[in-house]
Amino acid sequence: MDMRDQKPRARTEGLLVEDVDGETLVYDLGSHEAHRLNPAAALVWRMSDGRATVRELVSRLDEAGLPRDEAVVWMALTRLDAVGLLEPMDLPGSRSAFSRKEVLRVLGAAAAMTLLLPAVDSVVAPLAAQAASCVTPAQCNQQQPPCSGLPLCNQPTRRCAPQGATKCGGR
Amino acid sequence: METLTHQEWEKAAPGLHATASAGLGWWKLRHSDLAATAVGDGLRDAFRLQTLHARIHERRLIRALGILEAAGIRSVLAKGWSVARRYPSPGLRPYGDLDLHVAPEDHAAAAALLRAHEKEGLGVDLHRGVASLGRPWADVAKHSVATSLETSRVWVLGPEDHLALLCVHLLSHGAWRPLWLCDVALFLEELPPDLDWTYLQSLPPRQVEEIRLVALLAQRLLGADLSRTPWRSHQGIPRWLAPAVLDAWGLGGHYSLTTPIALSEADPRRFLESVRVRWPNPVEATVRWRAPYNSFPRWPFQLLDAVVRGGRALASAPRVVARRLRRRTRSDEGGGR
Repeated sequence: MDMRDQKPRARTEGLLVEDVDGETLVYDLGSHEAHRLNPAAALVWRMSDGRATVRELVSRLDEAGLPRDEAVVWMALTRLDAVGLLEPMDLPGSRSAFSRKEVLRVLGAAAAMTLLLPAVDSVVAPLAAQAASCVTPAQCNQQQPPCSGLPLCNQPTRRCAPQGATKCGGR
Repeated sequence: METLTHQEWEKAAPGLHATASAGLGWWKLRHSDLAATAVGDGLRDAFRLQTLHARIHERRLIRALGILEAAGIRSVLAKGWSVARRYPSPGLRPYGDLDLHVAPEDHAAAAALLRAHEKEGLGVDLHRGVASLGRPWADVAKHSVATSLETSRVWVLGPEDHLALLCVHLLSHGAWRPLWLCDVALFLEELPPDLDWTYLQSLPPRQVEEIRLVALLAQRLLGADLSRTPWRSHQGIPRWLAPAVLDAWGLGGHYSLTTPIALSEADPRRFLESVRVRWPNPVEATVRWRAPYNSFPRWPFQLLDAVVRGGRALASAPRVVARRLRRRTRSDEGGGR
């Protein structure tokens, strides 16, 4: 089968999606990782409904002001796949094959276009959970070392601390 | 903050992150040239994560309320979402646990219900009444207010009790998180015109004084508008209070978030740092020892606090260290198999 006839399907289970200031934020409730999708990546991700083929996705790229070139779609799919936001599918090459530089070369486009190309980045910052003045035992058990060190709710003399190398618990 | 330079933002950013105020920092500089700098990127990432976490907490709240409501238990939410919703964006006011207050007679049943759902990680901090306010639960429940989150009904503390709780909580934790004062400032500027001042001031006199002081502090440090309150700036606050709060903010953290001192003994630098951050905050010492809010120096209360807390830590150290050694021994034995 021609790879372009595949019908990409975005993963939807266990994700929390929020659109903020022109970008799409996705939180993986299983891995507790957060990602941000720029408009081009978000467009491809949302169009990946398991019904549209890659060819059809290419034909709709102009909705994000992008050239109708399959390299752009593969670039988005490769990045979405790398962070687990797609159901498994065959991809034509490594992530490096669809680097911005490479895609711009294929498109013969100006460097300014780079801001429009699909991008998926991880969001990393100190946990907002640090705002808590305490954590429940269940919250603590879900953490991984180094653990938050916060007091356990209703048990202020005990803290969420490492229990062995891989677990957190009240101590 | 409008006049802060790039270098000043770089210096302030770690403190903003450490005190969960990074979202507010981003909000301040998002339309400036600094938004596209490394400092801006870090603050924006915090804002993004906080936005996502806010949605997760909302789900948890809906779930927890549903569990209690299905059992006929009415709970009243304080802090957390009920404060965060007042900010212009959910990513500005992070929080962790869900503080749900129930009638004392419902507490055991509510606790059992939530324990049964512990694996869901709802993060509920269940309270028997509102112990930190000198009020009967019946009064608190009567003054609570219904609001909505998606299709769920959420009872939140009435504005009088909520303002009181925020102020008392802020002082009892040494006011070390700037966000807590922002919460109070927001509250003060959005007080409903029909706020029941008689009810508010029927709290024990010390708590009424604490509310007044925190309100004045919010005006002094954040420029909060007190025109809807009976308090005016000329009433003043003890001269040590504002500097003590600024010092606490400057620390960028609190000892309750650090390693227990008895566990830092292996690393002398960590131990000394643990001792340093544990030097009693003047605000906490005043609250803990119920010292008067006058202009006398705070050091006698701080010293008393340090001696008492230090004594307790010393007394518990052998037990804590022994437990740690036992665990380490077990871990070594397990690893040797």
